[in-house]
Amino acid sequence: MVNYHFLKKIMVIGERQSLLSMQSYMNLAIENSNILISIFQKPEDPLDDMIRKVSENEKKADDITLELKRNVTSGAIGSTLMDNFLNLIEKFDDIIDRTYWISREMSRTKDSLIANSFHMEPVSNFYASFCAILEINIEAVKLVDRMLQVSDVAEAKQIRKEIEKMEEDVDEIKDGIIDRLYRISESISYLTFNHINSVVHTLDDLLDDCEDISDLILNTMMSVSR
Amino acid sequence: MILYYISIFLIALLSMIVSGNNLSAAVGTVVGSRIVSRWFGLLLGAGGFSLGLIIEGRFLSDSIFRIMPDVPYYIVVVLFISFILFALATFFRVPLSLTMAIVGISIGISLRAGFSMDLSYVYFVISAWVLAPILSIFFSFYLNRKISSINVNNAWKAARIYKILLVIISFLTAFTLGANTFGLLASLGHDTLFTLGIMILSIFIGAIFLSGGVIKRVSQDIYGMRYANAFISLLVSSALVEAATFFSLPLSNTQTLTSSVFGSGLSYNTKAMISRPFFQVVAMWIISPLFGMLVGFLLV
Repeated sequence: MVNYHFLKKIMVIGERQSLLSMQSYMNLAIENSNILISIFQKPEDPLDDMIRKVSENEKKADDITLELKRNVTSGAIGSTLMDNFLNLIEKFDDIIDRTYWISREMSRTKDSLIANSFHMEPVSNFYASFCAILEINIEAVKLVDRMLQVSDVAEAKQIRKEIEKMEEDVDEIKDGIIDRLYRISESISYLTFNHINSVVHTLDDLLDDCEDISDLILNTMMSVSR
Repeated sequence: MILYYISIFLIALLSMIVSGNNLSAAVGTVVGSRIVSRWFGLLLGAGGFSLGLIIEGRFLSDSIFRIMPDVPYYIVVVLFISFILFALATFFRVPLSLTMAIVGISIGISLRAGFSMDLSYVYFVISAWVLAPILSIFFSFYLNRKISSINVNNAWKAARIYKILLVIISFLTAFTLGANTFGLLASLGHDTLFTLGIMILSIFIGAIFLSGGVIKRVSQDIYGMRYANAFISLLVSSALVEAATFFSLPLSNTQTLTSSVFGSGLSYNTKAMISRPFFQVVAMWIISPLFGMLVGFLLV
């Protein structure tokens, strides 16, 4: 008699199932990015509800991380690829954590700006650039989502290239922001300088994470197929 | 009669140790890569050893007695020295080949007893021992290079195929080891049904109780390879051992497998392998039969 569970184990690729289960991060990442865009577009609006939502998503991501790590370390993945998968999970979790950090930063900054009666004009220009980065980030996350689903190695390589290009674009935006920031540094407070500088680096890290994730997915595909 | 039972007892002990030590070589990859559970791996390996012994073990039935006289006392001496050497090697973590040790001890005993051994057969065995690692490295290197140049489109389909192939080749590796190494041991018990029964029981006991640490270490360390590399290493190794079995040549499975893993390592474009352990193993291939021969010569 054919053992169904044995056949299932042979026919179902643990690596692929684990990658597909990482799609649960995608909606959280996209939703948090969209919330951040809304925050940056209208920082003067009440933020509490939006920040609460980002926080909830961060908690959900932590639960997903815990569950995925348990799956990976308890039998879904072989020892050779386990580090790859644990890195992948960490990277996905980092994306959500970073969006959460930015939302917290925005909450604190807003309170401070209001308390100091600071006018938003110099800052809002930077926020427009942040929105541009977040829109690129959403596209990159969608590409990562597609990469998790593809079987074709050539297609995965193509997607990886696209993500790499997006990361380079964001690098340029980041450099532009930092240049501008240093140019006006005399006219802004240390708090504002630090706020813009920290957020732009964290936003850049989002794309770095997407690029790292695409590398890890491609490595996994290459590793199991040759 | 007492000597016969002593020899059967020693064969059983050696079968347990060899089964426990070599299980990882056959099924380490499929267990380490979580394709099958540890228990399924144990069954796959021990089942392969047993079937190989039953179906093809007879090819080795007259091999050892072409080297040494078929005398119960000498058989017990060969088995006893092999057991002591193997136990010491395991204690000191030295990679000793049982096949090589048995052949070496047999030659030593024959030299001391003045037995006219089949010299052409001895030369044939020694040639096989020299050629097998070279062929393993060559074929493993060539096939790995060939397979890495194949353009894979569907990664998951390829992974699925490799997983199935790895389960099959793991069983075949166990089968060929069962036919050759266990076949050689069985020949010392004259391949009787009683001997085979005791050996199969010992194989399963060894696989269950003596393979734990080894299977974990080997599957995670040595077989930290990709599916394709692991498949080719096992394929080359089992093909060579199977060929040797057909020619009634005792050939160490670890000799062919270590060489083919080395060949896989050489085939990578980026070399990040440590060659020293391989050359230590090679040194043991030379020392094992010579030391066995010396001990066999001195103790008889």
